[in-house]
Amino acid sequence: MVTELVCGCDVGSTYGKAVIMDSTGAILGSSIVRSKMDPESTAQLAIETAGEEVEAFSSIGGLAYLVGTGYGRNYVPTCDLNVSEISCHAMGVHLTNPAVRTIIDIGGQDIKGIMVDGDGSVRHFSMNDKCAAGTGRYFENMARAFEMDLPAFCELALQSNSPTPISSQCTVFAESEVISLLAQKKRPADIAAGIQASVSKRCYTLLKTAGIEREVTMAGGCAKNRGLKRAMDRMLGFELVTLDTDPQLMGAIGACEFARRKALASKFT
Amino acid sequence: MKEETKATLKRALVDERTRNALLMKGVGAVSAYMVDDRVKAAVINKTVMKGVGKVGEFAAKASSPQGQAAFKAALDKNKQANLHDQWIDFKYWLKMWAASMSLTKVESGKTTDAMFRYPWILDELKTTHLAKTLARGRTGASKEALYRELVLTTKAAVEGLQNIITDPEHTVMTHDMIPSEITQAMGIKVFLVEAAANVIGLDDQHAPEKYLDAMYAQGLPDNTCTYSTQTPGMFAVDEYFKKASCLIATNMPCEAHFEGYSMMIKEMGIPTYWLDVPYNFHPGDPGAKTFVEDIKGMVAFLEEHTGKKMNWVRLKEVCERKNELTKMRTQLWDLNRALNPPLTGDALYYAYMPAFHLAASTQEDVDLYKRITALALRNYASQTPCFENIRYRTVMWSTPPFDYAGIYGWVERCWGIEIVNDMEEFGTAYTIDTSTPDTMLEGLANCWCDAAMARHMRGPAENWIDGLNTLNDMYQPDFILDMNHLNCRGYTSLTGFLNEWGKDHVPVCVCDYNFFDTRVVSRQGMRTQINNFMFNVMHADPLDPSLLEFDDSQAW
Repeated sequence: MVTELVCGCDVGSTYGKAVIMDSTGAILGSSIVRSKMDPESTAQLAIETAGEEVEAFSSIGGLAYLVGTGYGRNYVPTCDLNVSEISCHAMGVHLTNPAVRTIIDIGGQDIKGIMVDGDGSVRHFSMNDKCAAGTGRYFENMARAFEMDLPAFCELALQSNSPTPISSQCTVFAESEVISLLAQKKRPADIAAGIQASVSKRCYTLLKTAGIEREVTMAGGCAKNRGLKRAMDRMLGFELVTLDTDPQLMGAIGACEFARRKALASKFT
Repeated sequence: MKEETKATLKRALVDERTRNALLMKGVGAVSAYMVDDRVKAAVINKTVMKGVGKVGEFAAKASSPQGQAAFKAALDKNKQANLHDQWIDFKYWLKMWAASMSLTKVESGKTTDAMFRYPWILDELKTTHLAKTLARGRTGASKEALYRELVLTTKAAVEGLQNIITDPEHTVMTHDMIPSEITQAMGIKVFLVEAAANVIGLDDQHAPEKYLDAMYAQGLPDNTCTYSTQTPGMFAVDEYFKKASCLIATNMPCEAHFEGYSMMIKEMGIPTYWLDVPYNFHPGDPGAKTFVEDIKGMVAFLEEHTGKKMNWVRLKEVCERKNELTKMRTQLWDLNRALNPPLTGDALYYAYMPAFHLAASTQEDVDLYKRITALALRNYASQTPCFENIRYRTVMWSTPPFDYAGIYGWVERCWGIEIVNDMEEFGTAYTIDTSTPDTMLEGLANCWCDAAMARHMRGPAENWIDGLNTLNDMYQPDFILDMNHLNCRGYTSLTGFLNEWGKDHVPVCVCDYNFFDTRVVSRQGMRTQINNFMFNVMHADPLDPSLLEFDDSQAW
């Protein structure tokens, strides 16, 4: 019997993600690739890379259903449906951990606070897409100021017990402030922890707008930032739930689930 | 209108040759006018030349293959409308032009000079385009109502301009939301200071930018309401009137009026009277009595500076008209509670603007309301909704974006959303006791202090939330469309409150915008926010997916 494959592809500003499932909802393959200039190439590369892990995968055209999401969702080749990334993240997190009701999704270019119902549908959301403050780009800039790679910078904050306050929210101004603090010989770990604390404040404001209801989790690439997770735990006064699956894949998993449901529905109609 | 003219116009509807002949006659008249020396001199004006350049660009675009394709598509779209709608389109297209061009009817030399000295007046001519934009996709009652409302608004704006251009010595400048019943009763010529800002912002999304930047360059904080920034900006670049017999200023709409206008008023140096609304207004309390005294002061001030006397008999007539209007207005609110709301969105909003906000309670306002009420009742009787593909009912909370006047039509056609009422339109409706001068003034004080901006935006917050609760109970909307004006400090803080309120009531779609500045939030930016909400929270499918994203960043 030929396995019917469905795929969700999340074309983000910094990474493209793809997930391939069979009709039972089992994840057979996934990928995370660095975004290229052209979102169509990013999508193609992400899907083909995920396909390499799936024996039954032959080509993009052979997929039973393909859902695109993320800022480049309109450019996913042979896409059957586009779904907003807010709905996809909500669904992806719901599948991974149904107890979660609030999600903070930090992507490369924006932050979203999402409140989810018991069935994975969105109840409220709030988003910041006008400013890079607190996004993946922001952390990349900060790591550059520290002359470190991103994973090392994220770990650095864990060595601090006394964060240095960072007053600037703007990515550009904050970078200048950090350079000044480094020049003043402040402890790099404390400055890094201060940066994580300032981002957590920003996230908290967005979450408050969307509504905070436990359990709360973080999704998106920045959810892997342990320094930020610790700062968020402190800000909220309780621990964020850690997802079993790679949090960066939540949008693609949600998109894939929508694809699976659509494929099943089309069989019965 | 002469019988012969009527017959020609009727023939023009069906006969292309007659249409072309009429058009050529119009072109001939314009050519003859261009021979005038004054016009020639004005044409040398740089701003005007820039405009001419734009016309050239437009002509080049129109003659390109894409331009021709767009023109053909527009023609095809028109063909789809029924004969009555096409007639309404044509009739009011003519009326709009007639209303706009009537500016030069009185003392054409002075008015033509003013048109070239203050180039924003030429933006008035884009009103016909605005009317077409708003009427797109509309049919029946809403189409006719919209056109009638815009013709009336244009006439009122043109009358004000004629007053200030041809007879500034006997014209009083008034801010938005001054009780215009008083000036009507006194027989005073009036020019509404914000008329230009209202008109050009609606007509062309980019027209206000020059004036906003001029004020920011002079040091006004760039988070000041763009409504209150634009008019002083015109003054700052020397494109505004400096002469009038006197000025009546107010803090009615919001506190930004103080900030934006103080420089302008100082520079103008004309006698000024400040009519200020008390905070937390309640009829009968000491604040209300003080406001009545303030209106009496305004009457005395006007008598002193214009030589006109208050005519209490005429005021009684005006107040009775206001009562009649209020009755019809509340009837329209009630009709929209029906499952198929008969007259909604901008068809409701643009009736309120001239009749209750700008040039209140004239006989023309009453005639307009009578006609639109009749149209609404006809729809109601036949259970015809204002927009046939209605899927969602919403209440628009806050002021609609003037830099995207077409948003009402877009939400209808893209998502099937019907805006059954809005914060500006929905004010408290008082009936004025016309038995004595004192009761009339008291009634007017109640009406104006409780008008939408004075009541909802000046606070306290309970006024705002009470209004929202009332509308929510009245209409049971599927969601609230919260237009969050980013340069309104009061409103942005209330949006946080609204978010919390929504969690216990109905979903809230927050759409950030800036009243007159699409550089802050573009039209597509507004659409994207609404799209996000509709997809993610309402789980809706668009009626017309081609309208989800399109580029109108350079459109008027």
